Amino acid sequence: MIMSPAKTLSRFRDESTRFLHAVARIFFGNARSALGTSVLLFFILLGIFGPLLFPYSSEIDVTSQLLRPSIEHPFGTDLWGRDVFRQIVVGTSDVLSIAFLSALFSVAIAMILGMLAGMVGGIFDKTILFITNVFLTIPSLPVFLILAALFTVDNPVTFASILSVFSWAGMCRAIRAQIISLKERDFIQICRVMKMSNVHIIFKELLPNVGSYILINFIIVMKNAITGSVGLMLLGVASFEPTNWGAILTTAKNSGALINPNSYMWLFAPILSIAVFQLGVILLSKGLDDTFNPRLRVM
Amino acid sequence: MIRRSILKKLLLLTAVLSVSFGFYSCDEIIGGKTVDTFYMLANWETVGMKNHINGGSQAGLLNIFSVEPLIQYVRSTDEIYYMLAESVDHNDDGTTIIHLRPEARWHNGDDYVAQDVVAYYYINQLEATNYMSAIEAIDDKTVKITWKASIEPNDNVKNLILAVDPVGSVKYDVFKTWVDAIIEIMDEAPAMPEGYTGWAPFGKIVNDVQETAAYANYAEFTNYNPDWFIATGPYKLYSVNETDMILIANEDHWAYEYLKFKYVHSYNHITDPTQIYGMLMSGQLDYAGGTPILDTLEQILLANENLVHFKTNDPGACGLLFNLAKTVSVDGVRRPLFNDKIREGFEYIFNRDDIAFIANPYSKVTYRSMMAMAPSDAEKYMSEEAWDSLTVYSHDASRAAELLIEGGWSKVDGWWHGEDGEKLSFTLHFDGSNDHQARAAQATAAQMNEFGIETKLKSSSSWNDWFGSAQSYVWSSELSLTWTDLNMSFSYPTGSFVYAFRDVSFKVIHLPKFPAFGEAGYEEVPEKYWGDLSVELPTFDRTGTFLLIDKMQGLYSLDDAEMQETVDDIITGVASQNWGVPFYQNSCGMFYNTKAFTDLPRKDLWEADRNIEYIPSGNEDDLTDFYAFGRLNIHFSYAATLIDWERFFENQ
Amino acid sequence: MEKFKSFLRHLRMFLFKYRYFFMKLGIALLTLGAVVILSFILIVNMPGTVIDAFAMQLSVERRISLDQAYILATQMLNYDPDAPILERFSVYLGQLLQGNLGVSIKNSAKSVNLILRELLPRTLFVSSIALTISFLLGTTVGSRTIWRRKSFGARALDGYIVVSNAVPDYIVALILITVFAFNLGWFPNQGAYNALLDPGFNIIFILSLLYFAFLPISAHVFSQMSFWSMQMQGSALGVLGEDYINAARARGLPEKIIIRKYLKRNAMLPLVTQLAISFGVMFGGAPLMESIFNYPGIGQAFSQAIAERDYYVVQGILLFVSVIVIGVNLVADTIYSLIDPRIRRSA
Repeated sequence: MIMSPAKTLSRFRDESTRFLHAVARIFFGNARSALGTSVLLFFILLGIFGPLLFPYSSEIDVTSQLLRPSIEHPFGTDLWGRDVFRQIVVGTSDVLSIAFLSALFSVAIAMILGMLAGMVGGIFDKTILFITNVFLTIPSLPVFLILAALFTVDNPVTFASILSVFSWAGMCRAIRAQIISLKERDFIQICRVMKMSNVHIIFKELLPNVGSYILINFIIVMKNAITGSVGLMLLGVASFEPTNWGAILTTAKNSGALINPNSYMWLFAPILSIAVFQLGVILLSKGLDDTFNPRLRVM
Repeated sequence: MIRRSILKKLLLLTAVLSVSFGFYSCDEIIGGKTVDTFYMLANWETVGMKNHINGGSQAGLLNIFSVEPLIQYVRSTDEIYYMLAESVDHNDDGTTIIHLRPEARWHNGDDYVAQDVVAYYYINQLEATNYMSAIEAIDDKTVKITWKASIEPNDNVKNLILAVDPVGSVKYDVFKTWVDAIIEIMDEAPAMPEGYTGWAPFGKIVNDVQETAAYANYAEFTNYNPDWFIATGPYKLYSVNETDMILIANEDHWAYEYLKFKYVHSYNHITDPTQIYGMLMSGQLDYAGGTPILDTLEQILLANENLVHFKTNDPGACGLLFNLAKTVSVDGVRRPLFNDKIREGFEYIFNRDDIAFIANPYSKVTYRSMMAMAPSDAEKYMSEEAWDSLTVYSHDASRAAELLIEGGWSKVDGWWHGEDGEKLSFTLHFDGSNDHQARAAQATAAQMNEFGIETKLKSSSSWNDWFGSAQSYVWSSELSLTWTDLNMSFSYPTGSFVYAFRDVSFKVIHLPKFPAFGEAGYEEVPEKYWGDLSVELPTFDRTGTFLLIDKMQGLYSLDDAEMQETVDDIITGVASQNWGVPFYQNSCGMFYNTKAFTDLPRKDLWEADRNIEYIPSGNEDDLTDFYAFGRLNIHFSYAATLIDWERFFENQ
Repeated sequence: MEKFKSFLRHLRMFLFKYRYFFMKLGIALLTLGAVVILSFILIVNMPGTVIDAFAMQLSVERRISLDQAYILATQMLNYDPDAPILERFSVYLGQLLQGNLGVSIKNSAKSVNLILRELLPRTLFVSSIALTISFLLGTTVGSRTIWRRKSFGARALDGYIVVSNAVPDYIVALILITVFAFNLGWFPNQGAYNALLDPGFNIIFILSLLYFAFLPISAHVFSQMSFWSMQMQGSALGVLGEDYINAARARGLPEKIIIRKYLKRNAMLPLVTQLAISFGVMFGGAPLMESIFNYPGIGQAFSQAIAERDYYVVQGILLFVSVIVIGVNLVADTIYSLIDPRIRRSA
């Protein structure tokens, strides 16, 4: 069938508006997701344009050490006399991409392996159980020490991969267990009887049922990645980035910021940023649940 | 229902807490903090602590206050105090007679005798024994040492060598089996050849069979676990568990009357700074080492009006070390990444005042290049002429740029590029467990980036991890931020040379070496140089050159004039090479509780300002303070800190 | 002969009947073997040797040069850093076969068995109480708030989750210490019990233990509870709207009963796996928390052994933790099939 160019165009326009509508429904469908999306968008924009708006200089200035918050320095300054607010802004893109990527990697691995193990069963399932057991018990500290002696990571992708290696196994087991339990339930059995394809069963029937669980774990891994990345920096696996939120937090803590009112903001600025970011993620996930979870719509 | 059960739990919890809280309150009367107790931190083995310090376990306070040496020296000032020895006479015939204190006793009440000293040196065979040709017990309280004629140290060094070893840790009766065995092995071992300068304890060189036997014997010795802690010192073990160790003053000790406290109480393995600062602020500690950042320091002093903070010179400087093993390929030819001009250029890049101030506001900034000796010591031990001849660099970005360009680098788009035209990107590697160095590293990287040399930071979790990778040829970073010189033992001008050229620095800088046995071209090199440093340096008078390791030999035997000449040669020679850029000589800080430790020096100063900014330099005009402050550092002077020497000497 | 044959037949039937379990056991043992070998290779390849680390310690303690300390360390350790891995592994296995989980290279009085005996009870005391409280509280709160998603309780929980996700556990610990130990003076800042008491099974000592454990447990609970409530929410969302829940509602059962008997119980399934893992990991202690509270436990001993490169201790503790983790997972899998018959069918 041949369509006229105009028709194709209008069809394309239709499709894209429909797509945009769908996207809007997902992200702004209700108050929660709208708020959550706005917070996340704010951070994404901050990560991209923040450094242009608030250029950061790592230059040290001993005359402005540990200043309390002011108009000029909203979060005060650190021990090196650098503006903490601008540090947070500059650190945003790396912190968020590491968090997002490591959550993506570990959730993807856990989901694929967990679902396959649950669906396929047999020797494949046993192999995956074996592998998850190994990853659950292999000690991370020696691995990190060896890696630190071999190289220094300085790109978010490798960083995220290293973080996710040690965070997928538990989730994988839990997903597998859920799938095994789900697949014996009536609605899946019916699909089976109706000879529906596995693809249909996985994507249309199983995934929505474990979706909320996966979403929650996505948030948990993200949180662990933000606070855990500084561990890799202190061990020397990754290069020590003074603008990383975790690094700011640790440096402040080790300088005694908890007992020194002048540097409270130095310590709490990264915590505050993580909190607001977490708020956005959690609101969005709740919103997504409200929109998509078939169970919630029933209620 | 759930709510009710939670409520129940909460009620139970509250009940338990209130009871235990009440119980805690009354316990403060039983034990708690008494005036007669000195509180500090120390690390000991949480489980499996052995009852002698040669057993391989960390002993915490016991190592500090229970085990005595013959003579106690104070690291950083080299002041000495006679402990187990009452007097030490160095004779002209190359012998030394040690008179032990008649009242010196083991903690079980037995007399401390000459045979115990002999037993210690025979079983442990550390550096001191390499200078001895014999050690014997003349009678119960007299020991005679005969020094090797070829490398006999001068009298000053003899005292320091005897001061290093904690000899009050091997009781002959207890360890008889293994001491006798090693004495027999050493007696049978062949004597060293005439003029031999290598390792030969008591002038003997053991053969392979004897060596194996000696190692096995030593392992058995360390594995033995006596039923009381073998020591003679002023404090005895009172009680110990995983987190608290309490020592009690030893009534049998010769200085019992002069001990400043009845008990010493320590907490184990407290490493988090917030914990330590909090304990200081709430008065739980009477002593703690370290200098927090200025703001925090002031907050701590503000919170606890009994605290004062002293500072002394630390015998070490920190800064940048180059890795000379890094090369760059230009037209297929490998050339050193950091050539002479580049290294000289680096000396001008930094605002060292800022780095020093951020690392430790009470450190002393230095604008010289790496000297292998802390600046304050170098000034003391060098001739004035040589000290003045050392180049004093400055913060001069344009001079730095000039030199870097001369060295073949170029600046494109604000970033420096190497000889091969590639953009430079360096990694600055530091030991993250060292707080002032971690601060200095961040400041250094910031200044390098600002200057246009892209620099990333790499932290290690401990000094060992840093050293492990920094000395490897394959994976090490281009630059390290670490001690450019450090003195791990006595200050006499050798300690820091040992750190630089026998222990640490040369491995990190990757200085060139002679081929080792079996490597290409080793036949052309005299046997004694195989595998050793091949660095040749200009002499101070610039008339010739010398081989660094030649000068390192026999440092202890030199008289004062020869020593100064050698120190002049080595330091001016090393400084001319620009192997490193030191930023500051560190200072050691100590918190003290004035209410507990009542005879702290310079009351006039700390009554005016409890953060004492004055650091005695060790010149003739402040020598009294220099020694008094040095003695305050418990980790430098051990039990000598808790003995009231003034009263002791008055009554002798 | 007859007897033997019937024994064999019974054995075969027994094996067949419980083949599900034996299969799992086989996998568990296989994993254990793999983990032991793998971690041994890893640990031996850690940069730096026990001699380097020990020499550094000695040189500081004895005020001697590093060079000297290195010689002393070599003498004391009777250990060859260049010995092939296989040889070291066989030494280790030899010890294992004698029932020793390993003895420290540098201190013959310190064995893994002793460490476990002395420190494991302390670690378990704090961690198990903390895990129980945070699991029970977390799942209860999680399942109740999922029911009323717009209520005040649900919002409060979200607020708590945001805060506890943002503040790392070591900062929580330090804040608790600063406020309750240093500022208010209500609780001790470090230690496991009053040093002046004799350890023993008496009420004063137990109270002292509880008193000293209060802050560590609180810190654990504060940072772990959000994990469990989030897990519960995620899992409960998958159960909501199931027929049995709708049916229960239709029958007009009280909300509490529905939450407790239907929702929570069914949502617990994936949490059992996570709980098993957490339970196993608990035996390895919490190195960071233990070191901040100076609470003498396995985690602290483990990180010290790593720092000292004390291979046999590291390996011994790891082996122990691996056995527990794998064993607990095995048990969890078995329990699983008991709770949920559907799983047995598919296996």
